[in-house]
Amino acid sequence: MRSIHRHLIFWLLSCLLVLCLVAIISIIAAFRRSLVAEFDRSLIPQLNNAQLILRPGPLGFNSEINRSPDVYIQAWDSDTQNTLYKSENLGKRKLPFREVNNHSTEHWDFTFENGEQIRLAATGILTFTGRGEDLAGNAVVVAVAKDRSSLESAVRRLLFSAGAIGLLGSLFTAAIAVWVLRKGLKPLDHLGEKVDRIDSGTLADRLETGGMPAELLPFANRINELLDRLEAAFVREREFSSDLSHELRTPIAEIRSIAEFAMMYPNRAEESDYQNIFETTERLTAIVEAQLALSRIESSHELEGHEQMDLEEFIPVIWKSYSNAAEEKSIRSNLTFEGPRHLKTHPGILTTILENLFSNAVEYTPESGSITFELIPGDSDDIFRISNTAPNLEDADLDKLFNRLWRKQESRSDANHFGLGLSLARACAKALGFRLIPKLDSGELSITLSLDSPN
Amino acid sequence: MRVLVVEDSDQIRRVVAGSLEESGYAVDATAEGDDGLWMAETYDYDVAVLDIMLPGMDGLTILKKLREAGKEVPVLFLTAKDQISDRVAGLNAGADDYLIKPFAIEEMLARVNALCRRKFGKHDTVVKVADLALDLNAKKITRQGKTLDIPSRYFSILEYLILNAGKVVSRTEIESHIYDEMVSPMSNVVDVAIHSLRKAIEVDKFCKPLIHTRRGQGYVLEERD
Repeated sequence: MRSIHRHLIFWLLSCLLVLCLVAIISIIAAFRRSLVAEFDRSLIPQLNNAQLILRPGPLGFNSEINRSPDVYIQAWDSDTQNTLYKSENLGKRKLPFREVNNHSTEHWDFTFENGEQIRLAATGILTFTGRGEDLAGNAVVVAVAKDRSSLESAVRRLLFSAGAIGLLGSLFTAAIAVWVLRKGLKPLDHLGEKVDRIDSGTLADRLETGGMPAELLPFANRINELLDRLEAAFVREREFSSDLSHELRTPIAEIRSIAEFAMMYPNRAEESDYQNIFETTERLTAIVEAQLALSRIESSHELEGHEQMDLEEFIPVIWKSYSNAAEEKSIRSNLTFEGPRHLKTHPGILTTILENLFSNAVEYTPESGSITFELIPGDSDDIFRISNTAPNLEDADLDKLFNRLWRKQESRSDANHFGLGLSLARACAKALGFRLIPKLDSGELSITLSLDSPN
Repeated sequence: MRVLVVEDSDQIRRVVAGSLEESGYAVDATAEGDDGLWMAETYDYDVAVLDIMLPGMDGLTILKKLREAGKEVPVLFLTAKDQISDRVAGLNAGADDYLIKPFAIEEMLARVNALCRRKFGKHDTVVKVADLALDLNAKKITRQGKTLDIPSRYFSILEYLILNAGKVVSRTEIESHIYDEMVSPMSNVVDVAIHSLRKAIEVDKFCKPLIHTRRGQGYVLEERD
């Protein structure tokens, strides 16, 4: 599994290691170059001395001049490469010849057969023999050499020291880097742990954003918003399960109890038991059919059979079925049609919307209350509005109004309704591209059918 | 034994009350939560069977108010609320048992019986006083090994006396536990019943009397030398 922590540590340590290696190598190379240059500079006086040795004096080569015992000297005729001079300390060994121009100096390393490592400095000079017309110039290469084991030893010591310091430095830097990374990524780890603890039982908890780094704040805020929505969804789901459980379990319990009671105590069975079982079964059937209708509507993508409808004619026909029930409750009803309104929509689905809205209004309007229906003419996004007296509703109820099986009456004792009508109306409205907008004002509930996306 | 049933479904209420009556309980039943609270506070019930979702006042509030009033009546919640959180809330509120709808009548009766036994501190389903034995589950009375056929209206009194064996039980107490609220408190129904009961548990003329009268106090069921 990819880990930002491990990823950062890997790359940071790798880069640090490479940087350290480059730094150590550079330092060692610079120091070595400096040591070699110093060594070479120490050979120059010896080379100058050697040139003096080779200047022919009255007694031939001035071989006794200031000669150092640890310095090897050899001179060659540049043309023939014949040795002109060789210091005694070389014995049978020879220094390697190299062509060198006059007045220029060259340095190089050489290892004798016995393993002795030396470093040479060589230059080209002109020597003259004879006098007057007999004066003849001769190109000579002079080389001096010194054992370079001290130089190699110094370089090794430097290499070891630099390696040791580099290693310790790398380890120390790596430790600091790891510590800084851990410290720096702690808020991220903390956030990860908190998010990891989120489950269905801790949905009410929120991520603490106080003191959180600015980079993580948007994540935490977004997670908190998601948790808000998730918690609300869980609550809705729980309420729905609980309501559905009640709506189904109660009628099943009634049927079962009546049957079991009649079997256990036949003398106490009543004629009305059959009627009760029938009515309860009817209620169960209605619940199941409403649920199925809701599922069908919610899963339908395209509804065929749209027609151009004159709502001014259509709506009073639907209302007629509910007007008697409204009159029985002494409800004042007022249907206002200020002008024609034509709409191309599905008549069957629109009928379901209207039936559920009218039924809901008549059922929940208290006696002597009022129901107002207003058809909005023209091309307004709002199509119609139905308002009714609803003294018991509160603003908080508006959020739940369209929830499946929601009922204001917590006891759910009323067997004639089960809280699916408005859910079905909303699902139908959505399927037709409308939405139902509830509003509560001074004890009056109004529900407006409006275009979901204008035009 | 007297049981209160508060249930808003007419069918379920009738069945629960009827089953309990058939099992020898005196039953008062109502559909309204606030009526249920009033009855539970007014009368001394041996068990209360409450629905949770009730019109007027929900079952949890009834239970809470009863406990606040110091009423220790055992409560069985009979409800469609089936989630664990609902059961936990019910039991934490002080309910003694929780039964989810739909339910088997036998199970409901067994649970009510168990609550009654628990109320009287009896763990065994068979309670004995001398040679008289009462099987609380089978609702069967035997004396000297012979099964006695006792009318249900007397059976409840005998059951109450056996469960309170050795204690003096007043007429008022018997009335409130055995008869429902329809019985007139001025009637001599208890005296008549005790008289009949004494005869009913008399297997032969050598049987020792077990139900004794304490003048001005009531009755006691115990074995005396």
